[in-house]
Amino acid sequence: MPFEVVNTSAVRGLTFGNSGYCDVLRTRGLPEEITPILSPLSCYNEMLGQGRAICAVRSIRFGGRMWGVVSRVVPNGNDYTGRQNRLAHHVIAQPSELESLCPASILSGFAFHDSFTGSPHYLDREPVMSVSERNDESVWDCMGGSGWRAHIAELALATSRIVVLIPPEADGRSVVASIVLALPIDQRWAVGVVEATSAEQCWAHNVRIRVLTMAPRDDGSERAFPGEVVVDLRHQPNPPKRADRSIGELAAPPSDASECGHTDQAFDFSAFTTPIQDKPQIQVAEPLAPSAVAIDSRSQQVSAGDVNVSRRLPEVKEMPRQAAREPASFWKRIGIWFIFGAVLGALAGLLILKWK
Amino acid sequence: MNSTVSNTLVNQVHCPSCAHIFRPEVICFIAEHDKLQGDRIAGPLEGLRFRSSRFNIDGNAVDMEGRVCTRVACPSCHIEIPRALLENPTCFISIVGAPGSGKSCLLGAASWSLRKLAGQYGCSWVDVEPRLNALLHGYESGLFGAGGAMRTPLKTEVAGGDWYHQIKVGTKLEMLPKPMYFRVARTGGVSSIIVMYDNAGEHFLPVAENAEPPHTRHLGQAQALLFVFDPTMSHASDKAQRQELILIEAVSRIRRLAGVSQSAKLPIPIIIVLSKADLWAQEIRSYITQPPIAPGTIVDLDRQKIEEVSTLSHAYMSEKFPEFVQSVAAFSDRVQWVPCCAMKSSGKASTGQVENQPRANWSEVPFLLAFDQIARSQRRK
Repeated sequence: MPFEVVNTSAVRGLTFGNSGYCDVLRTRGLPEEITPILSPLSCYNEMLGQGRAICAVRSIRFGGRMWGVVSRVVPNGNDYTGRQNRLAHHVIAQPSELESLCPASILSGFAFHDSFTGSPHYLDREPVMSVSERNDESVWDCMGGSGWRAHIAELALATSRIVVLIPPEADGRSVVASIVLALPIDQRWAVGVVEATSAEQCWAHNVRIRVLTMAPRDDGSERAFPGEVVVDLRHQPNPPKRADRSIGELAAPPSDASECGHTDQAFDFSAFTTPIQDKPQIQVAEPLAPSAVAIDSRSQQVSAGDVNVSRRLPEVKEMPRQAAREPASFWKRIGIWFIFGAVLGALAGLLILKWK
Repeated sequence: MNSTVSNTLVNQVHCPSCAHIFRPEVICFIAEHDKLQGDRIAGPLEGLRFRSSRFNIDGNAVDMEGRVCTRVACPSCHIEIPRALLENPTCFISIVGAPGSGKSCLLGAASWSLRKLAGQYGCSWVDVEPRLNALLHGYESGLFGAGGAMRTPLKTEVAGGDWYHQIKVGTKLEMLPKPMYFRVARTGGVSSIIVMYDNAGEHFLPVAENAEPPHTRHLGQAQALLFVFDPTMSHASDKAQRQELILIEAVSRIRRLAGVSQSAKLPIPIIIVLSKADLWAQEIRSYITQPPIAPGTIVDLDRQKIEEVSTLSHAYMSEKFPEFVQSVAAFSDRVQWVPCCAMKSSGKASTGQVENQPRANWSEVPFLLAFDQIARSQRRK
């Protein structure tokens, strides 16, 4: 069962004596030691968020294992001291649930809190999905088509950090959910997609894709750090090239919403038990060094230097085979040295006998 | 440019972020070349930290790509520190208080006031490196910028955001508060570096998850403690925090971190800053309209006037908050009570809403007083 945590500034928190930013709602059974790890995920960047709700899919390490966290942080007026407040609502997936629970379905179908009133309390029920169903695909219509989401996923798997610039009219929550769906199932929690977050925060929480909402006239390069690949979708009327070869499509996200459990009241844990769960077999080409991606907004096409993920992945795949070969060569070497030692010993013995 | 004046280095440097003590010669330099971006502890967005063996004639390190490096970092936490820490004595001032007591506003108002009034106090007050004080500049702009129109104050985050340095030790992420650096110097005297911290009030609550969170590690090296007490936060109301418990917790942490005996009184001066004086200090208000200036040896502070106001404030506190006064007396004999305000709240007749106007009265006094007492205890001139 996934857990829920609501963190905001309140007079009293769940823990006796707590006030200010603290947990006011928590599913019973969630270890309290996880709270300090969740605290940095509750931050709201006022400059990047611009007063809108921001969403994130991240993974954290707790107790030596990976946990998944889907967050939504929203400005929440002023708190009891008269200062600006924010409310963070996290849905936390346990390590055993990471394969069966789809973060995109949580983002799309979960009823996140916008405000919190009343006294802090524990929850005894599991998180409930809202009945309303969201269509995240249509969000790409104003950004050159849904081919871009697969392309972004492809880039994220090939390079280290991506900044996706979207126009103000695009819904950030839908963009994040849609990009997550384009990622391979086993990478959806690990890659991490966040909205309106600084590059430092992304590094701190091992997030590779950050989505920033910017006006078309703003200079996107100001917000990007060296080493980040910028995908500017504010001026993209056309779909990307080679989208048909993208990782996202090979990973085959569910074709209809019910596969992700959108229509159910509670989370559907059997969502990803279809045959598409197996990783697609990708044809291996010779290894290539990753190269930077440049998107020319004037020509609105991806330049020739983009990264071919199908060439990049085999490097990782081949590693176990090399590791497996190592013990064999080790024993071979031991054998050679053993024979060499035996021959030397025999010769030495002969010499000693002859000398005597 | 070759400098002809030799620089004298201090014997030991205290890292303001992680409290590591090291000798100046083991300091790390920060690589400047684009190819040397990324550090295993400070992160991929920072330049590589390295111990240099190549220097140019000015004493600056030269990185592996031949670029001259002038910025330095702590060899333990790899967080950048100003180079002035290697050359000047440092005064660490910790600011403690309950959530919502007005610590950030006090810092912003004090810094703004000192920029204007430091000359009248017979000293100078400047940023050591403005880049490292960006957070404080934001407070100042929020309080006193944009033609006097004050924004709703931001609440200091408990973790993450712009308030903390984030470093990775192995796979563990550590958050350390961003220190603020100022250089204060008497005209013709030795300059000192004042290091201050703006913590979230939640870090000082006795129920903090971690017994010794890294956010408050600076308490161990504090040379003066500024406790921000909000007299409008009566514990009889629902919205109040018991402030004496926060003081007891802070003192307990100082004792643990600084290795002070649990039964001994604190060896550092405690200054109780009584914030929001415009709302509660009816009889004291007239005293704090003008800055307390009188000739002095280190800073031109009118100590007689401050003592007078302190006595009045103590009397007020003894009447209204005896439990707090009793706790303070148990921890130190060197306590000053300084009322101040960072802004003025007034009701707007037309809308009926409370409006805040920037008005800094005596907000700089606690900091100058702390510096004065530290310098006296170290017999500086």
